[in-house]
Amino acid sequence: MRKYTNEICLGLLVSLISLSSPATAELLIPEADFKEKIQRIALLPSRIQIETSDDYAAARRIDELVATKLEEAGVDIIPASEFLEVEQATARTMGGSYDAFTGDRDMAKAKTINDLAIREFERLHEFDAYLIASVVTTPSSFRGGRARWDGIEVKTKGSGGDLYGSLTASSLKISVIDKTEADTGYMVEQTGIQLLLDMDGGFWKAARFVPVPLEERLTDDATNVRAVEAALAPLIELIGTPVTTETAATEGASE
Amino acid sequence: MIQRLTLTLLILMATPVALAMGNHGAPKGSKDHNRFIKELRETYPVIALAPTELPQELRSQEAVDALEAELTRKLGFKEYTVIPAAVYAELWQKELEALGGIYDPITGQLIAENLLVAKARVRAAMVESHDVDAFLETSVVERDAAYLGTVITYGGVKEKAYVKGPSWGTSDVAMGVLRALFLTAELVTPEGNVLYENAGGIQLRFKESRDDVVVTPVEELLAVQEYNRTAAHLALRGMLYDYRTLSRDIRARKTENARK
Repeated sequence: MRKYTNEICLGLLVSLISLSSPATAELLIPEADFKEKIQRIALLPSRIQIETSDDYAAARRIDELVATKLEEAGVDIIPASEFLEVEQATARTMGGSYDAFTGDRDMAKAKTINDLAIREFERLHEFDAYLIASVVTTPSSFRGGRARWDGIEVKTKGSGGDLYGSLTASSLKISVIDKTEADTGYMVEQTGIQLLLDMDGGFWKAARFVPVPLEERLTDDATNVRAVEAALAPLIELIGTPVTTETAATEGASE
Repeated sequence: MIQRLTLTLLILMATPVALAMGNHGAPKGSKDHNRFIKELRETYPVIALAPTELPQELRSQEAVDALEAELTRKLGFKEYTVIPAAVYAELWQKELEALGGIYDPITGQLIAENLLVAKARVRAAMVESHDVDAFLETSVVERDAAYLGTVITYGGVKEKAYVKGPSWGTSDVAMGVLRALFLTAELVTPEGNVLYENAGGIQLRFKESRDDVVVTPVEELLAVQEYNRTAAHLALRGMLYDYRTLSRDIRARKTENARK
């Protein structure tokens, strides 16, 4: 539990930073350069910067969905499981970065492990850029029983009458960054996933904020799939292999 | 006129929101509450403190000492026998060493099975050695705190806040949620059954600002020992005071804790 408390604080800080994050895809280099430069992408393990009942399981689920979607679209990738394997092997040789008694993370040791893992991973694999999927906290505006943020709109529990305001939500942020210079970004896209703080009630029933239970965060497959598909769409449009009408028709007929 | 009526309605609707953010373990009715207080003291006269848990980035021995001293003082004042947290900590450390820890050092994941075993063994050992009847487990956590206009209420604390988090309202009044630090207290039997739980507000996670949400610097969190002591009082009051005293105490504290 202490681990999660630490992550809440980290998530909070990150969420405040993410307030300035773009709500739509942002290509940070010219399209032609992107297409020419990036052929193969290594996926880094997803970062869950919101509080969930099981951050590790949620991260692996997002990893899997991102890898599947990109592979289906014909993007050449190295799945996050490959990096995770290298990172965990490195961590094992160094005795890990978490205190087995308190769950505290030794940040200096974690950085060393990460640096060594990146070096080893880059020695083992050829690729052009990293992709990081992060689940971040973001504000959403609501009015008329609907909440909107980062390109999506969902119904709130209550209509809220004619009230309006803001709620807290989660978004999936996809960043494609340079292989050697982590500060150099190529693309950022952020898509809404689900509310973290909902609103119930309205005019005749007292309006109140309702936190979404930890067990219901990032556990709905349909919601996760939709967010992953939307967040990856701009990248797939750029470097995915287009599905031809003929291929699509053949696939449709065989189903 | 209509606008004023809307404002009144909003305020009336907002009140239950602020109250809903509170957390109380003791029964609500005066007779039930008084019986609960009496039975608790008679059935569980020896209480052992478990060390107060703090988030990694907020570790402060001074804050822990202030919190635990106040918890001990409050319980002692109501004639409970209190076994200090140091006794629990020593046994806990031994159990962790025997089990090899409760977290995976590679992934940081909690090993729930080890946690349950360690807790059960420590509790059994303390019942054996100190005749402990119940354990008071406390931790500092971050939770939502509701505000109405510029007044924010959390865990029995009421103070002024200008910042806006998630909110609703009209141009006349804003109602919303920010984040604050709370001290949670849970009284459990040696078998792990919860007898009482509550949370006392410590301080806001945000500094005041009219335009922006500004995070309170880590070094300012848990640094005011008076806030820590008040949180300990607020977390325990529902299991210590009879209904009449509690009512008076709430009123007194509301005034006392109006931090401006």
